[in-house]
Amino acid sequence: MIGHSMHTRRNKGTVGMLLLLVIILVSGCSSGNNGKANSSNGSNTGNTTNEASTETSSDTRTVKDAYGDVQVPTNPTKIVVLDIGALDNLLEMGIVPIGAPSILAAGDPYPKYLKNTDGIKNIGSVNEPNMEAIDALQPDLIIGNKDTHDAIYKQLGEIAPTVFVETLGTTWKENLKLHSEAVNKQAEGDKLLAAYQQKTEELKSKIAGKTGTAVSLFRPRADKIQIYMKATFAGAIMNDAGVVRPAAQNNDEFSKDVTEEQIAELDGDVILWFDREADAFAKLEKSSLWSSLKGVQNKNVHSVDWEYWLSGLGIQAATKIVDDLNKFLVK
Amino acid sequence: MKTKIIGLIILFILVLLAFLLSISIGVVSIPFRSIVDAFWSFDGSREQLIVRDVRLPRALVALVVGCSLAIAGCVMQALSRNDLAGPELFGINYGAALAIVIAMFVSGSASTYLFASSALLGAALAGIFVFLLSSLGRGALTPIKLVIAGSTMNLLLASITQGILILNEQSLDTIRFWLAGSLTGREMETFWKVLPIMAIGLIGGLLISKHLNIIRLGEEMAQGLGQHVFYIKALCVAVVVLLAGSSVAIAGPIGFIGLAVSHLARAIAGHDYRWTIPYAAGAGSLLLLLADIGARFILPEQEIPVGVVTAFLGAPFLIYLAQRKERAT
Repeated sequence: MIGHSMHTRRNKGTVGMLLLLVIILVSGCSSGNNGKANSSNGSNTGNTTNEASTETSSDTRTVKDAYGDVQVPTNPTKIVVLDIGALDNLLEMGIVPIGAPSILAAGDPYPKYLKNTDGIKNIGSVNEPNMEAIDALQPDLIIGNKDTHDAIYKQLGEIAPTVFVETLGTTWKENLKLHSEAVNKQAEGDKLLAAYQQKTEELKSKIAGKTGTAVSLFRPRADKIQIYMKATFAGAIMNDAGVVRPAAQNNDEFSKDVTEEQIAELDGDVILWFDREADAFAKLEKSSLWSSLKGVQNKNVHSVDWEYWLSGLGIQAATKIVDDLNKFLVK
Repeated sequence: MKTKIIGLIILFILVLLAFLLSISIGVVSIPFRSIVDAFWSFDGSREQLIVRDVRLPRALVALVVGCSLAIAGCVMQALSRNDLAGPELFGINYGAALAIVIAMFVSGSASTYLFASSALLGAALAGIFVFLLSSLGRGALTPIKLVIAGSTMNLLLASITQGILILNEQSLDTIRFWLAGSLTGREMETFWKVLPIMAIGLIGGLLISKHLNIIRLGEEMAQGLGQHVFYIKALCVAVVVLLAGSSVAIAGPIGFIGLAVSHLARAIAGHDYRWTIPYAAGAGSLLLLLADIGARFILPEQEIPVGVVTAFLGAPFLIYLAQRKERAT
């Protein structure tokens, strides 16, 4: 083959080269997005949607989710959840779903902070749920969120009735309410929220007026440091508990990426960090600038578990975050 | 001759200015006084630490990487007799990427040192393999065979890399920044480790510059002039692998510098490679230093990888070149 190409004219060779360059460029550019792009194959639109609505109304209830009214079984028993927030909430309400995803890669164990996950079938990852695995479980209810799973909403509807919350993160309280409605445990959901409310109020009163309690929260990553602001799950919980943030982080955004140069923005009386990548923190800790931080000088740096600070997004995670804050702020 | 020396001196001054600028300005503004003090009367304050431990390594890395990529590009274009070739067409970038992904997969670690050493090893293996592959068969190491072998290897390595990344989302997250090509967060330590390798490549590049003039004339002509063509080509490949390999090891695959700067250098210094190579070295450093300064200010209060900036600058240039070439043939 090489011998053949040798005899083509140089002109053609150049065009070929250019084409190859373009291919390499395109493949290089697209390599960053692979994590997400693959889940958007929901082109199967013209088909029938929720067939559950044809069932007799005596054993169904109406729940209002992100897409409108849905008919769900009165007491669903075979539930598949598509995100960790729903898994967390359902387990806390005493319901073990039959299927749930891993956070990152299909087959990874469920977060360690969650108990009673034995026997739950793995259905892929949060970003890429495996439709065949879900179908094989023959669920009678599927719980997901519009933000992540909009593209497969219609297909899921052909498998079972679906209840979708709008998004994950700061909306976790509304999500818990909708989840409790979906599984017919409204009273349980309200009770859990009230307990959380009380816990945060207690912490709030304990740290009210105390100085030196500004909490910095960030995630060291391979090439940058991501500061978690107030519009994150953990940020919203700190806000509920009246936890003060350093001025640079007291912002209603999700997160901000900084480099070592902007290290001043990482400072706080208490420094909390989590990471998913090995070595990212070790690198930061090694730098000479790290020891110029107030929190570091006062030896008030703590690593926290990313499984619930970052990816939990349910009532158990929220409660554990408040417990952690109690540990670090109330002495 | 005289004007060319003056030109080189001017280029050197420009590089020096860009280097100082790179140390002086950044996302965090630091008074000029502290920048000077950081070197002459260091007191360990945060501002001075930023200058010494963040900006200085970064500027040094930009300096040597820009210079290395440009020389590697010149040699590559002469060797393949193809004005659209760049060091990245040698399978080097994805050889490095694949080695990093495998090393991360096996060891579970993502330290800068692991990245740099496995990238260098992967780049060298890919470069040597491409060289051997294109030396096979009749008409050893013709430009077209080199380009085909290089592009094929690049694509093969790229698809294997992506295959592994799809199976392992965790490493995708970590390596994404590396694939963009970035100069942030470089450490002096890694810089010192690759510097000797780069230095050998740089000296080698200057030494073979005379022979590049002849290689560029074509196989028969070069042989007729009494050149040991094969050995010179092997030397060229070694230089490209050393320079591009060590660049990719510390900064990731920064594109277009190798391609674009060789053209700029030829436009200014002419086709005599004894002049082209030093000019390219200076222009490469200058361009990468400036692109890296730009990377700090395009988004407010946030940096973007320098590889993105060079790609933005380089893509229109590549299209222009391709069109001009089309008309010329």
